[in-house]
Amino acid sequence: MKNIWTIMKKEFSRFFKDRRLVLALILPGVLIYIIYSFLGNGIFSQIGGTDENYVYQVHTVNMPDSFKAPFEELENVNLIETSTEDLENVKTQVQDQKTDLVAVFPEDFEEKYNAVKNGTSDEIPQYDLYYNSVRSESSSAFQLFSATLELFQQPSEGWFQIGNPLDGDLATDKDVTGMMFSMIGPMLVLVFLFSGCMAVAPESIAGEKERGTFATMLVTPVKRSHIAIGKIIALSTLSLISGICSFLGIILSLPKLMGGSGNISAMVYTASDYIMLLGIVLSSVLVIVALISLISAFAKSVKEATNMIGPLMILVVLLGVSTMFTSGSAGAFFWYLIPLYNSARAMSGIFSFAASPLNVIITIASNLVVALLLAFALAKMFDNEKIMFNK
Amino acid sequence: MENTEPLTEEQPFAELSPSPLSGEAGKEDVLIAANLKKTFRLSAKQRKIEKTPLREKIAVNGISFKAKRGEIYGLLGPNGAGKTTTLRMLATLIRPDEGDARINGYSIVKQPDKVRSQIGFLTSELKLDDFFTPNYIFDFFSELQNIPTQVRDERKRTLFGRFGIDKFAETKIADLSTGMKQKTSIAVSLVHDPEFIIFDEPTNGLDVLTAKAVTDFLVELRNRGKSILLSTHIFSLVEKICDRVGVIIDGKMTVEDTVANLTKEKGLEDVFFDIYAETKGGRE
Repeated sequence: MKNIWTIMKKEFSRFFKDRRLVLALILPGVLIYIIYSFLGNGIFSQIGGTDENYVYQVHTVNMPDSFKAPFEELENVNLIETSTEDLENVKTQVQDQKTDLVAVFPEDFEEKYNAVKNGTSDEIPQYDLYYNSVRSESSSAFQLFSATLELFQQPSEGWFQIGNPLDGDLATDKDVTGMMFSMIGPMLVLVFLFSGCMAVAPESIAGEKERGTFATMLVTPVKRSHIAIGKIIALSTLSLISGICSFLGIILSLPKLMGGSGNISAMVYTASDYIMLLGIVLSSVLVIVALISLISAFAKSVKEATNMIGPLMILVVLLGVSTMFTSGSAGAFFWYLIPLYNSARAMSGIFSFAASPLNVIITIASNLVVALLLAFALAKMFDNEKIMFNK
Repeated sequence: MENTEPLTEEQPFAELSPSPLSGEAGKEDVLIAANLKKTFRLSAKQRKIEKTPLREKIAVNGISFKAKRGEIYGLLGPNGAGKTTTLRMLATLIRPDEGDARINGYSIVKQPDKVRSQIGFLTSELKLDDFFTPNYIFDFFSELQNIPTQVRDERKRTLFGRFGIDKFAETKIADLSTGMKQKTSIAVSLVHDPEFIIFDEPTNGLDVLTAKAVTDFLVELRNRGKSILLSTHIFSLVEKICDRVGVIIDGKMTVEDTVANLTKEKGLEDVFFDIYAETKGGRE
């Protein structure tokens, strides 16, 4: 244990006593905050799709029968006649993401419509649509319903219009935050952790090998496994600092990035959410550092290591992006056994308030086991002269 | 699980090479190398450079020798003869394909961790991190060798004073002269006051003053009862400080004797060329 600590202290000294390296660890986070904050209005449009066979559940209040005809031809829309008394109830269902859309027409809608159409009145009738932008099915239903109704008017002439274009979205700030974070959060966390690891691990393993300083350590009686564990823990800590700086940068700049609405805030998450997130991040960083260390040990130089790590980086980005197209943390437990993919899935679950503690525990345990196996493999590599002294 | 005790006579070391060298009365054997063999695979590029169709190169071909406690043993040979490979095997950086060696009773094959605690190894292949100072590096390697702080500080004071490193103790290694770097490397290789010291070309690239400081120190170590294995191709150095010498040519130990015996009739340089001509001539 003492030797592990000695190796760790040396790694920390190597980085913290070099101002350039410390700056390299922290700078990405600061830059992200500045750049993204200045980017201003939201660059993220709604991402996501729905199942082709999905049938949209649309509740209608006072919808004239003559307007229902085109919807009957659509197989993927189910119009449900709802009374005025039930309106609040179905609106709550929309908010809770249990149904897709509510369309509310005034009783005299058809009468007013015909009057405007015939030119006998200029009082344009209005109908209200209630949807939840966080639920992709609800957003799609909103688009489909309003577009279909457009068949009843000439594009250039307004015979009717939506009455509540600004307050029809029933999504709460918490829902919006959850959706945005669950879409981009896992990718950002994984990418920033990876960047942090990239900043330190190849230099510490391949760099030491290249400069001949690693061999000096190998002629001491310290066990190879202690060198491997010491390096992995120290590099993980450094990577974590870098990753957290970057992630804080993105979290703090997110409200501005999303268009300055000020409604998106990481404060919607509870302490237990953050604890689960920390566990996932810690275990993920161990896996990433161990993987990069393993590749770095194979490489003959830092440059070669960086090149060899390229494909792994692409894989990690893809794993992070994968959660953009899946919602929540649902899924069989075996998905949570796959290192890093499990982290992305579990983080997506936490961000969208649908975390399963069991899945989080499986994720952390799986990552720790994999990191341990990789550390063991790394120790074996340190003991392999063909790998450590290949010139 | 590695055996932490020195191997006893009952253990099968002797079977590897039945008495490679006859024992000599007097001093105890601190190193017994028996039939060491090491082969390297040649890449296509290396085969082209060496103009050989062979896919493997035998770097060390069954070398056996003994070094005695309190003596300096010189390994002499031309470049590429296998000296450094032999030293790397003894320092447990690489494993022999065949054979074994015991240092202070510990096997380099079966007890590499114990061997590492017994030896100090210096070679140009091992570098010190440029970013750190001699002071930090000395402390770091002392900790890895489990040296108590008080002993470490005393040892550091002695070694740094002996080599004049004390004035540069807080200077980054990157900013030190070549000679001072080499002196620091020597000091670091001795943080644990090893019984057996392996130095590969310790005076290479040094100016005459620094080279003299290093050779004087080797003699001083021997006088303190330490055993030293030295690889070099400088005849004068061997004649001056070595008690015993082994000549390696093409991976084989061709001659082994005391320096006094070898240089009875002529100088070591002439003796070496005779041996070289005989060995190469006999093979060609």
